[in-house]
Amino acid sequence: MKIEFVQEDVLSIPDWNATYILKPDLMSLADSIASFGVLSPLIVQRESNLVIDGSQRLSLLRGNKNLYDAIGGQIPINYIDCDELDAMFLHLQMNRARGAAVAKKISHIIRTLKRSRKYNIKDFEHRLSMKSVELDLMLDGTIIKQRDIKSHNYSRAWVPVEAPPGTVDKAPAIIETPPNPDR
Amino acid sequence: MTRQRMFLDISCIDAARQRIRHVYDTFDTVCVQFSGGKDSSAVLYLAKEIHEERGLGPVKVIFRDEEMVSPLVIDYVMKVRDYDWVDMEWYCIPYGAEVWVLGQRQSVILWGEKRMKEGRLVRDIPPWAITGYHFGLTHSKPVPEDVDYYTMQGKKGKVAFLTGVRASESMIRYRSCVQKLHENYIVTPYRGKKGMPLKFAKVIYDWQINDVFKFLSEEHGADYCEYYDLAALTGSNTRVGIPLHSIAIRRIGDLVATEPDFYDRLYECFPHIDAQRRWWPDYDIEKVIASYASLGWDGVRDAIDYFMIGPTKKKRAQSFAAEFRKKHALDPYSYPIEWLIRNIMLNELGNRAVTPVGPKTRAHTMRLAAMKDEVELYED
Repeated sequence: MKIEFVQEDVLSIPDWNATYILKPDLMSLADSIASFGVLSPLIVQRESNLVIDGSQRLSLLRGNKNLYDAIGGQIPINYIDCDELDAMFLHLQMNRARGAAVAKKISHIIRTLKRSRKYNIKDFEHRLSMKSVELDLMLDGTIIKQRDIKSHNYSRAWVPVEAPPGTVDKAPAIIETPPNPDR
Repeated sequence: MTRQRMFLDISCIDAARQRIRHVYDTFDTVCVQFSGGKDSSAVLYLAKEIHEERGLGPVKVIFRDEEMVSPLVIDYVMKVRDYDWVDMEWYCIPYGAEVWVLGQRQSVILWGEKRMKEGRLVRDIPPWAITGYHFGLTHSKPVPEDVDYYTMQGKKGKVAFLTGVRASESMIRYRSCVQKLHENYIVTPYRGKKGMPLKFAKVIYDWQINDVFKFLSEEHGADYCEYYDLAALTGSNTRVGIPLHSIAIRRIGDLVATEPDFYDRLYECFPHIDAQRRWWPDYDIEKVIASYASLGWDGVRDAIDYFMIGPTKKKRAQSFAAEFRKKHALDPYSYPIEWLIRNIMLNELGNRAVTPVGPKTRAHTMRLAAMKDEVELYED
């Protein structure tokens, strides 16, 4: 693989680009580029300079001059020889093959980082876009803590009775629903 | 029949202890129907209390292994199986289940022989399990009776299975707990064989989730399945069970977030489920239902053809639709085609009583009013 360096105005984002990064994730990506640079090259179709993979990083660099300057105005790219249909296909392949983050393991990493004291709350908040609610969850995400079981008082027992005609059960509804239905 | 809850001056924990004592007083054999979930774990520890109180020895526990069970749940069940106060019977009985993907429904036989030969069982049958073969049956078709019929074999006298059913889990479960007024928590199995001396005892029917976790963690310092901590971490559902049926699979993202390796194994066995993971959040099922409903009976036919995979599913849906059609002919506003298509795609077709919107209900009255408005508009 031969990595080349080009300026941002050489590259273009295809109108069929199918990816989108949400703002909090984009902020985290910006912090990573500012700290370590563009670590993996953008994948670009040689003939047209269309970006097959890395459009979000390119948009970010174009929209943030300081960030662009911080990487020396040069973007690492890897040219691929293919026609546009193959470029589209590769774009789909690369984006369908992204790994999913596993909460249990992320929680483990967060706890390790926090214990090390090398990273503080502000690092988590600003550099990972991880606010206090999420951070608390990652640091101690047991259901006992999350549901605040310690301060829960046992419910009162009940039995069913025939209701007089025309009356309705005025006690609060009890049917439990999942936190985010149809995930 | 209208029911209300009458609250008592005791906690649900004490009431459950009273109920379980009553069950042990009135039945010859009592077993805990254990799933590895939080609710049946609470019932297990209630049973432990009474066994210790009365010196009854190990608690008899029945675990129905449904093959597509999360590895975390299996790990927990194995741990419980090893407790010296537990005497567990582990069943792997072949019966029909469903894989639902974007409305398409396909029958599968749990622990089925065909998948076993193809290496597509989600897990191997544990060597200690009681299987269909032990009852002289094959695993090439579903067992002829309900699974409870097999799990209660060899139990003496009147048998009670203690279950972790709670009213607050769903409206159907709530109704099942308030149907009877006397001993409302002791019920006959819905699909049980006639004359079978088996009852279900829903001793924790009035508990809430927090009661369950408080009871387990504070009264017993008990372990519970690790899945629940992962569910808390990822905002996932707190139910364990087969993840591919028409309701559970709509939250397939929970599975990916909590146990991605388990998802991968399910994918190896049923590759088409990946479409559900990728596209369900964007899939407008209401639009699909409406488009089939707009075609009338042709739409019903098309929906059955497309969404029911395999002759058994198709035949069942066709017979359900035929029965529905008769009622629709008599009262189209109580039996709208849209409801039928919704049922074909989303719900269970097991219940043959086709009564979607009965006369004198509010929905029925509203439909009649709408029909009247339509006629008046037309006349204007």
